[in-house]
Amino acid sequence: MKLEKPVVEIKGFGGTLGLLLDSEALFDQVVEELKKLLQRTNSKGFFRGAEIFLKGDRHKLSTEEFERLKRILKQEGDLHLKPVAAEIAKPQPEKEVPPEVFPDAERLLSPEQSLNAEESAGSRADVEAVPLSNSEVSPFHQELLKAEQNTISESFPSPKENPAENPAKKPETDDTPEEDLFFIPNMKTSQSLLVRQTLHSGQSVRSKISVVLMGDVNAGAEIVSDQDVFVLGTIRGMVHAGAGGNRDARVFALRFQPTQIRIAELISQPSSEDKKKAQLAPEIAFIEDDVIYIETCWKLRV
Amino acid sequence: MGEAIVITSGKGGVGKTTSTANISVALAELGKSVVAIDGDIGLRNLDIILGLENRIVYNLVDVVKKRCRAKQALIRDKKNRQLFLLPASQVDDKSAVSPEEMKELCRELKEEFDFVLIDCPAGIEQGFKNALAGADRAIVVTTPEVSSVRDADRVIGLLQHHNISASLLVNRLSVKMVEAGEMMSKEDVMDILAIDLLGLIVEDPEIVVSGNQGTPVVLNEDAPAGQAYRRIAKRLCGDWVEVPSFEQKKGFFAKIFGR
Ligand SMILES: Nc1ncnc2c1ncn2[C@@H]1O[C@H](COP(=O)(O)OP(=O)(O)OP(=O)(O)O)[C@@H](O)[C@H]1O
Ligand SMILES: [Mg+2]
Repeated sequence: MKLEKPVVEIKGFGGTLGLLLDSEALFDQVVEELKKLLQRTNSKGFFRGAEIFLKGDRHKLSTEEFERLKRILKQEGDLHLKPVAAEIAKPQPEKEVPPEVFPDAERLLSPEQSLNAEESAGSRADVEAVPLSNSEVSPFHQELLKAEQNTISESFPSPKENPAENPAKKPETDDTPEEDLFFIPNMKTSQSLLVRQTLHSGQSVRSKISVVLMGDVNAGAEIVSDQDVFVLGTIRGMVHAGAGGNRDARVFALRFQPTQIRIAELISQPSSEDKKKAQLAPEIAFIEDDVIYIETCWKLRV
Repeated sequence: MGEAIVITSGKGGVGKTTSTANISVALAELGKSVVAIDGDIGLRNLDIILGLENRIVYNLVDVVKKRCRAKQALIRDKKNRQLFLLPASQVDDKSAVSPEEMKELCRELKEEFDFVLIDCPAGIEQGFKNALAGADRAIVVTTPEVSSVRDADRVIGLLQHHNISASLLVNRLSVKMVEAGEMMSKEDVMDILAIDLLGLIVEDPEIVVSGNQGTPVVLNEDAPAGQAYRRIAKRLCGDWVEVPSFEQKKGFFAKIFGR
């Protein structure tokens, strides 16, 4: 599949935001795509009054058109659009420095976030800090939200997090300490549940998102996930990846001695012969041609 | 305020009662005041191992049903004045007491004693739940056998759900068999169970002999198991003494799984 060049892009350039427009696109198309982008990313909660600079070499805009984009960005993204001149006026490096802070907004934002951001929205002078401070919070928000969707079987104590204390409800004020977290641009991420214990017989973890386990899955214990399962230890029990039917899901472990591995609707029962042959090396289980294969794996491929 | 410790295992016959008796005696020998509760209602044994069978008047069920006061039911040990037994009823079953009643009893006893040790019945049903109810921490006993370790693992999971921290007692380890790769080593067991090791008791015929005589093996200075139980008591008192290690030539799993 050929990837189409996006009509409208918002990117980070060394700590400032830039609006990139496809010079071939019609203005109406630009407007439409910009609205879509802003909606999709719930950018209002994300940018909170940040400045954004038009990357002028992409498109020649009339004053009218510039004003229209400015209005849309203000209303739907809480962004202050500045002409290219402003960018030059500021002591910014001429060349596009490799972006370092602006993550893929779409991935990091949740609708919940935009709700509370309404109250705290306000113009921020410190443009550089905007993407930083927000991106710092977002993955955690999402994890917490997603964690609620996960069911961890009743006998298993649910994670300590309390929905009432979801940070999404906490007012994000400027005096919350900002950690120096750096994200690479367009970073490829996905949510996972990190479990920090050995799962003992009778314990079961069920999750819609990927599960990373720091410990073993003992015989009689199980992990069931709609996505991938990574066990940084030994699997002696049952692991089911892609439980919702995702045949691309995989199971990784440092040592495979499972009673069963399941991926999507397929079941693999390693025989004691297999266990004998099993090497002491990290392995990965995946589906190919309707068969579950378990192979040595020194590098996880995406 | 004392500490209530439940001695449990899941699987039967792995040495819970033996361990409860010996650890109780060893703690008392260290100068602690100890009460050992026989939680195995209907199948009482602890009195026999401690050699106090003939002195039973009242029992655990009498106490929780308020047919007598706790003090009246406690049997003082013949040799050590610091040690008491609260025997189980032989005529009732596990449903004769409730977890709430056990909790209340342990709370009461902890005010008077440094240690309250609870001998848990096998299984994970009512009797297990009762024994757990009043406990602050647990000692999980296992032998180095796959089935015993599996049941111990299950129990460790359940203890976690009750927020009771557990430490491990590996019992009946045969150094010879471990060396020959015919038995799991303590490292193999710990690798699976992933909890701290409290102690290691080797297979020791003296345990059977002393159990029959009603003089716990811990009183025998020369028996390896007796020495091990004394070390465990010290560890429970916060005095960390090393667990002796035995060399393993070829691993048990190496043999089983051909590694
Ligand atoms: N280290 C040991 N060496 C030799 N024999 C032992 C050892 N530990 C326990 N035994 C023997 O194993 C048998 C079972 O021990 P014990 O009664 O303490 O187990 P238990 O876990 O309390 O059993 P139950 O589940 O029936 O209550 C006894 O005959 C005892 O003498
Ligand atoms: Mg017993």
